[in-house]
Amino acid sequence: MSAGAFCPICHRLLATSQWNLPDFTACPNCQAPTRTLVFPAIARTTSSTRPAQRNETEAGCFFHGNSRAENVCASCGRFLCSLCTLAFGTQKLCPDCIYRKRRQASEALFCDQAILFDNIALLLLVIPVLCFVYVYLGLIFSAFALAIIIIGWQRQRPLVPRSKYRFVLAAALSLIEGVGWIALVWLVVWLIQSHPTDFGL
Amino acid sequence: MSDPAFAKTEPRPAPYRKIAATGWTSRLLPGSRSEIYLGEDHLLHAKQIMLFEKYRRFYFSDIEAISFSKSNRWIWLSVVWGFLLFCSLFWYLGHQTWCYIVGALYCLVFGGLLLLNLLAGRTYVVNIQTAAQIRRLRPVERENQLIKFQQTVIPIITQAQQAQQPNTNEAAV
Repeated sequence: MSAGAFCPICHRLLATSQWNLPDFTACPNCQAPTRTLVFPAIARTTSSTRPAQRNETEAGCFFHGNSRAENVCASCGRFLCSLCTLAFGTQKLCPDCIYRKRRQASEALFCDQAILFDNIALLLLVIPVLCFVYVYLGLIFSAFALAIIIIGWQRQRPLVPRSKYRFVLAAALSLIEGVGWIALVWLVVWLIQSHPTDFGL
Repeated sequence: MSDPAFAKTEPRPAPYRKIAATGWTSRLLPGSRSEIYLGEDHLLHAKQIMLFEKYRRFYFSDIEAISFSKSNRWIWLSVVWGFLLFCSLFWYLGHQTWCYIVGALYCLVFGGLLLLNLLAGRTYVVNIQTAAQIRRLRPVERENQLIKFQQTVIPIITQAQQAQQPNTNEAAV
């Protein structure tokens, strides 16, 4: 059985008498009005015992040869003892498969993070303007942002639906900033050439 | 022809339905935007940390408890927005047209924020607990959102765990 339910404010254990009450009750520790909805999963026993030893006639675990095989990995088919069986959703997998699948990110079920290329591109376009680095390196930043937009358009694969409008916005901004920087440089050169005395030349 | 065993598989977008999200003001603060999605057999908590989006899954069959405590955050927010609204009235002491316009703009912004805060309802601190993790669910910390979340999710969790109970009993026998 799990340790129990905890108060969201003070993180102390709540008494079982406070579970599934219709109204709020004060937490015994912090007195915050708290309500806890507890589900049957809290009473589920977790196997903390050592895996059973195998007989000569029984199959052994792939990782622990002396332990009796109790499950088969749904991905690679290895025999697994109770210690090596990891329930991942509805599947039972071995630690190797989980590690490999998470690194490959080939299945949505194992994806635990996504890179947001659109946010990176927007950041690359906004930060130089705010820091005045744009005056010197504006063209480089906008070219870099454009490259990230092109790469990210295909590579960005978030698990949840995400609009592409940020990419369009970033592309428009990068073009504006790039053209703006070229125009700025052209203006400075034209000013220097037309009024060289004003610039001490 | 390439061997299909070595073909690069594209991850299919999972069919998720958004059920709650933090307010639009959270978009302005990096790392504070988070959303809750309803999956086939789990809840997905997606948290944006500027350049990344982190995902946490809570399988309906594994959820042990959802606990929530009343918090005073909404009162403090009301006090802050109310104070700023009061301060913006000082613009009307300058008897000039542009002062009135600026004052009206400030009143509109802070008054709007105060009104939105009051309409969103009181605040809670909500935690979801499984055997492996306890996570705070920021997207459902307003009263209206919490009620909607409970109405959507609790029947699904109960159903998932009731369906699982006979199997566990069989295993125990």
